[in-house]
Amino acid sequence: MAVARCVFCNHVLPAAQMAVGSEVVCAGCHKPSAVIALPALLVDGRPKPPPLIEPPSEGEAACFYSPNRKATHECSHCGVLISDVWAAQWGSKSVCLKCLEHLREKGKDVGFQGSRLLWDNITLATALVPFTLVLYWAAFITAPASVFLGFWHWNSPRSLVPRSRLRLIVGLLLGLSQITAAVLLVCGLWFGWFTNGTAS
Amino acid sequence: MKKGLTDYQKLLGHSLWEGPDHLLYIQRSGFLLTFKETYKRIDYAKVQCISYGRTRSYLWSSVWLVLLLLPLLWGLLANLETPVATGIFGGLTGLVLILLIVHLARGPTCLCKIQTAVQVLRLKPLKRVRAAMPVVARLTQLCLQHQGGQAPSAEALAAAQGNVAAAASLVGAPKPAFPGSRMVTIAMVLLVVGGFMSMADPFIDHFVYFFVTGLVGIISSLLGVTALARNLRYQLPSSLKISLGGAAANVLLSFVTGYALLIMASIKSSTTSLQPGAAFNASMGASFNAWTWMSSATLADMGWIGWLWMLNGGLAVVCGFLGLPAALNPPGTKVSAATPPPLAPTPPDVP
Repeated sequence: MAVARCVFCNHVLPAAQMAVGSEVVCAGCHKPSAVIALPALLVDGRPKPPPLIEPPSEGEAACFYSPNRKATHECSHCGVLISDVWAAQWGSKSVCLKCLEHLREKGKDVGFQGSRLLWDNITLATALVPFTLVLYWAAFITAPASVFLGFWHWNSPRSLVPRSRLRLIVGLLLGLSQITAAVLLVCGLWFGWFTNGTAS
Repeated sequence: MKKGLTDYQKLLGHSLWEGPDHLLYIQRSGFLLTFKETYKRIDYAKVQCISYGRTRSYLWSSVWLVLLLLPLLWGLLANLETPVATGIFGGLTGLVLILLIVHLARGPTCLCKIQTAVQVLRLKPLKRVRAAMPVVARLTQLCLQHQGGQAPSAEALAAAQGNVAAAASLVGAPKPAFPGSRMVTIAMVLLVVGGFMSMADPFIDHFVYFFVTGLVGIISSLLGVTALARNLRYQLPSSLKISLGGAAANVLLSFVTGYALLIMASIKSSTTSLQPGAAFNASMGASFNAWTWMSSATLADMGWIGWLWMLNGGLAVVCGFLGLPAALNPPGTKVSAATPPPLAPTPPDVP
């Protein structure tokens, strides 16, 4: 059934009033909203019953996981022949359920990754912590940590979308400059660089 | 060199990207900087509809910013002789003014959602009509390309939904009955209690009592407004509707009364100057004097503001008593008494 929902209250909107760009007044919240209906709305979205067991006939390939079923797809990742029940559609690809789980869990294939940590921002934030004034003393820990993170994750994947290494470089430079400043400070105190020459 | 999938093209900001066969929506989490990105992929071929509607955030944000700007402007004009106060008020006024101008320039706000067979996803980056419209147009074009066809006609949609008459009957569907809410009940009780406490305040000379009254009043009013906003989707009983509306009006009245009382207290408690607000920026001691005056002021001391204060309390009591019965016995929970199953006939005694 073609059902569109109100953008404000999720109340079901009458399909009869929907057309491209036309305004529909919701019966639930009485607010007008525009709905652009697309052909997929006409497709029956109800879950289909599992396909019947259809054994492969003479000369037909059998499913790798359920040999009593006829193979209908080829996994685009591992290449095994699979039946409808073992196939999952992922964009334009058909993958077997085992590969899908593996790809989603391990996240090796960018097309299947669900999330990513942005190590460049984490490096930058670590380097910026001492600049919050309240936590300036933390530089002794955060500066080496930001340098370590910067080098360790130099080649780690950043975002799924195009993103430069600028933040990583800034974080690294800030961390290195803090370490240099700390070394100079300690050396200065040790060798008495900051004491006034007139003192005797 | 930028590392990433080059087949993604930016649609809007850093969150919406156009992929070859899907829309990539990036949700970000972190503190000040983004530490984690979560990806949602929506196949163009599976998008059922795109819906959007104008929200009132544009109007309300403008109103709040103007309301914030006015006292700051007043503070700036009243303290032109004091360089520090001028600097602080001038800076804040400038900041709010810039925010207001930027907000107005960005145009009306909107809410945009994309629907598939399994989810209705709000596209949070699409907040302004001006920025959202080109993205919606592009998305529609992409979806139509991948679904291979024209947008369905209203008749085809109605036929798919069942029939036109059934679809049309949905237009007049009433809101669901109010099922009851603990928040509404608490708000009503607090309105009654707070109202009585407010009315008794001019006759009780105690700072703690004044403080508690103010606290109860603020909590009850805010709860009332929140409860009203949260339960507008239900068919509220008229008494509850009036009561909650009254609570909202009470917030405005409390604001006016409190503001007027602050000015009066600052004038009455000030020993050096009659300039409004002088007691509040002169010193901590003067400020304390003003609060002490407010807590100990009688009805006669407050003059017409005292009567406004009493009206405020009375309105809260009336609203609370009006809405309490409906809040305690909401119509949505009324169920007809279940008919007990017929008793099984007793088996005849078997000899």
